Amino acid sequence: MSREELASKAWLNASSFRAILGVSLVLIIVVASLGFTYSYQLLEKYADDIARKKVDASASDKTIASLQKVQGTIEQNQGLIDKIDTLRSNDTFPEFVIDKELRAIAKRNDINVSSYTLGTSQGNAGGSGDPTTTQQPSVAAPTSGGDTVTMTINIASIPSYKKYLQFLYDIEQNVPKMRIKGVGVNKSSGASDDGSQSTGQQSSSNSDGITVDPLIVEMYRRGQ
Amino acid sequence: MQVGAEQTIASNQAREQTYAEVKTRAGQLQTEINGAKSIFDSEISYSKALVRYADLFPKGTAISSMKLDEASFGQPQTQTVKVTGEQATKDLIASMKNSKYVRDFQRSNISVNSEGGKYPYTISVTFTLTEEIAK
Repeated sequence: MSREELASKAWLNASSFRAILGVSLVLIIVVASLGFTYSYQLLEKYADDIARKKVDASASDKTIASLQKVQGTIEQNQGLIDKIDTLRSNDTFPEFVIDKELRAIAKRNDINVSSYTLGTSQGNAGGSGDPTTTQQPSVAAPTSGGDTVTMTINIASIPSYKKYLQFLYDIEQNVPKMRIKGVGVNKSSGASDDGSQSTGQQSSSNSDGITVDPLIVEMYRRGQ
Repeated sequence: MQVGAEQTIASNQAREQTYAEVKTRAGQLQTEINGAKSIFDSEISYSKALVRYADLFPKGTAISSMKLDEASFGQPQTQTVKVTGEQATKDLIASMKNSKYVRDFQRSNISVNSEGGKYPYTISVTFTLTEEIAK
């Protein structure tokens, strides 16, 4: 058998080898490209993860720093925080607190109070109606719920207008905080234009010749 | 690098737990401060308002009553004023017009009081009190 015959019968001749080699090279290139792309994507994802975690770590550091700052601020301002806490009554029964506080303020300023009524005294308070302050209080509405408790003060007499102003001022400056709902000052029926009172008048007015309307006072309380 | 960041996060998360009370207190404090602000913002000082209101009426004028409540500020109100004469009326008008606590001042005609006395004339004035009078 000659060499030509052998070559023609052989499975792998030069041309088929070239073809196989060519296909193999193409396959290798394709697989390498795919592998490279896949690896690149993995690396990219890894890089993203690292970047995100670095950001998270940085944010976490900032959160801690912020919390430390808040803690420092709270500790530095503890006195102020305690004062804020006292602005509202924390008592279970703030009704007793407002009664006690207002009686003390009235006594301190020599205000003669005919009655203290918890709630809004209907009909004669809030600067409306009859200015006479000697009448007995009418039926009281319930104390307002929510964040205040209310008391109506019927004032029988005041020693002087100045004392009355001091009385109002002391209520406004009180802690727990109180809010006056309105004021009314009237010339006493027995007083003359120059401020003096005519004789023989049975009046609730003072030496300044004035009467004052009942006061409605609200005290702030902590919500139930 | 990733391990370092993860360790930082884990460590900070653990530390954050120890600050849970601080976070709670900060939240409560925020609420308290808002409440206090609300109290002070709505505060009306009638002791100041009464003095300033009285100062609006100069010598030679008299009022028989004054009433102030939350509705008295920012809307027109009318006040009857007794006066001794022309000068007191001029002083009253000047006082009202020049006051920083009064705006939209208007006056009515002057009438003569039948009872006479120290204040023989009456004038009715309408004005709006600003909220600053009670601050």
